Amino acid sequence: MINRKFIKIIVSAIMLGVLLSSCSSSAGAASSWPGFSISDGKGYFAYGSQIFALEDKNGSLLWRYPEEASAGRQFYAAPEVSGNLVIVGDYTNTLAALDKQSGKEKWQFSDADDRYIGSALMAGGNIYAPNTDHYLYALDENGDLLWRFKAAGPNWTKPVADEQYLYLVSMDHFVYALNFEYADSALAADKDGNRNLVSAPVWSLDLGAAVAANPVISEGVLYAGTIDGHLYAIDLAGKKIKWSFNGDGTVASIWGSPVVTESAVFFGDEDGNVYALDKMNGKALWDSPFAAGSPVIAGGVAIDGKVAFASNAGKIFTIDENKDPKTLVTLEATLYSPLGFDTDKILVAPASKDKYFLALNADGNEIWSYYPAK
Amino acid sequence: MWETLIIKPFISGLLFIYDLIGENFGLAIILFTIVIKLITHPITVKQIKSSNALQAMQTDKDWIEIQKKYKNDKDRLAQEQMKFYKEKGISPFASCLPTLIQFPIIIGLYQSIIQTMGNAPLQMLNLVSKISPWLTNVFSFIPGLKQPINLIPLNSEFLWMNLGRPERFYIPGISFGIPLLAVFVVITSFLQTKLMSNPGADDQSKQMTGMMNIYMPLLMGWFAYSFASGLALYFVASNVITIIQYAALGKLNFSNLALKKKAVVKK
Repeated sequence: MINRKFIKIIVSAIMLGVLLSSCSSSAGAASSWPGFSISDGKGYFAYGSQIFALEDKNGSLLWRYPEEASAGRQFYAAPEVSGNLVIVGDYTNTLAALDKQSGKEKWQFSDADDRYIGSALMAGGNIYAPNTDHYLYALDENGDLLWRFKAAGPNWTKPVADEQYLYLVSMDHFVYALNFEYADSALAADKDGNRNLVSAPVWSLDLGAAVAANPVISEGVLYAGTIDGHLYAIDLAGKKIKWSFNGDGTVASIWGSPVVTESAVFFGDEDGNVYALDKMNGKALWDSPFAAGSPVIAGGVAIDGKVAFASNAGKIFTIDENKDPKTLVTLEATLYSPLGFDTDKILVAPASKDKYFLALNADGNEIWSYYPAK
Repeated sequence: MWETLIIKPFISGLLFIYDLIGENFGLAIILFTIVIKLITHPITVKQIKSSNALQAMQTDKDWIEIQKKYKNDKDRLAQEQMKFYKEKGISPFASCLPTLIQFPIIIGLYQSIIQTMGNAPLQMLNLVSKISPWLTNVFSFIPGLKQPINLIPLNSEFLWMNLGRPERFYIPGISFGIPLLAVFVVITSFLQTKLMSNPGADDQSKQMTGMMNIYMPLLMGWFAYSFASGLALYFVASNVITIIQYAALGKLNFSNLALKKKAVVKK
């Protein structure tokens, strides 16, 4: 009798544990979507426990990092590829530099305290890595810390740069302009006495809401979408907002990067609407937005005078300044990640355990797909 | 249905309090737990009363008589029990119903706290889709209120903790962190179960209660050690508030805390 009751307690405890675990962020389930980048005919995909380097032309595997997957390291930030380095950040606190040809690790930087959700930027031989511990870390090509800047909130977006400054758009609602390099004398000391802290940005601008999607710079203007449904065009020389658009309050959260073409800016929102704006004044080009049928979380990509978007429900479509939408394909997959385009292929990374990465032609037909060996 | 009736209003309530008290998420969790406990207080009182009535019934002379008399005739026993319930005006389900009503509220409270602490893209996407400005609109006369979407991301720093991550307290000179909050969870869970449990009528019940008093606090402590400290803070707040609630109703058994000497059997 007592044994039966004891078993009941244990079963109840296990059930409570499962309940709590299933609702907890630490339960080990995927907490983001794949990130990838394209460089020199190769795609570098970050999804889950490994980074995969694939040939764009046929999807063959070049290397994977780490060679043996472990649950302890999760990768979602798109790898940054520059020179002979691939910079990858994981969901613990480690940033690693890999050899572009072999995928072998060259160094690790583990001074950060939290996740790398946003990609690093390589510029002028240095690496600028945003972390959710509120810091942006500047490293040299050997992974040694040059300086760090603390925002007021987590940093999810890849920094962008023009000739003059580095720009960090943070979840703390601000755009920060920073120098690429700082003299030791311009840096403050941290608690250990090391002079590596940037005390203040060159300038900053409050956007009023968090920015989760990578901003884009084009012709001296920075475009960033906020989760309260505003698209901002910021005049970098004037350090002020040039225009903003929220469709009189009808635009929902913006999770994908805007696409800037010669004369327009395209973006999608969480309600599944795609907007096209006049690049100069932020006026809507269409009488009404294009309804994709399900949320457009992924950023778009410019393809031959058109812009391709993906909706959550798997629809991949193109649209142009005259609207004229064309559905290329509807995949049986959830799409959150931005599409990629390389010469004649659209690269797609569904948020699915079965079908990791695939390449489509301009008509939406599958060229190849890559399933990681289990 | 669950999302619309429970999770979304709870998230709205949590964010509203967070905004009202100057964007302190730790305090918001504590205050929100107090608000929910206050709302469910009448149900708790009813549950305690019903539970006490059922317990008193176990020692009733007539009840014991019925158990003995019809122990070999289950149908008759059931009939007599029902008759007894009717005569004494006791509903055997009266203590279950309040628990059933409270259960979704407790789960909703827990889930809304977890979801509001989301600090990764999929979690944040999920949170943003559940944010509604209705509460802010209702109280728009309060100066300085922000739209809830503009409160994101929440300030997760509270005292020495980052509420989105497991808590460790670092003491200068000691290289490892001490899970202070997990220790608080174990202590408060132990006190709660110990002070609120009624001594069972027989040895078997006493043994069961004793095991619960040990295993449940340890289990809760393990959760507090492993998961986000915002959750552990909720556990501590909930335990302390429940103890205060029962104390106010005069339903704490302080005698359970007294060290009991084992009976010495004389030969």
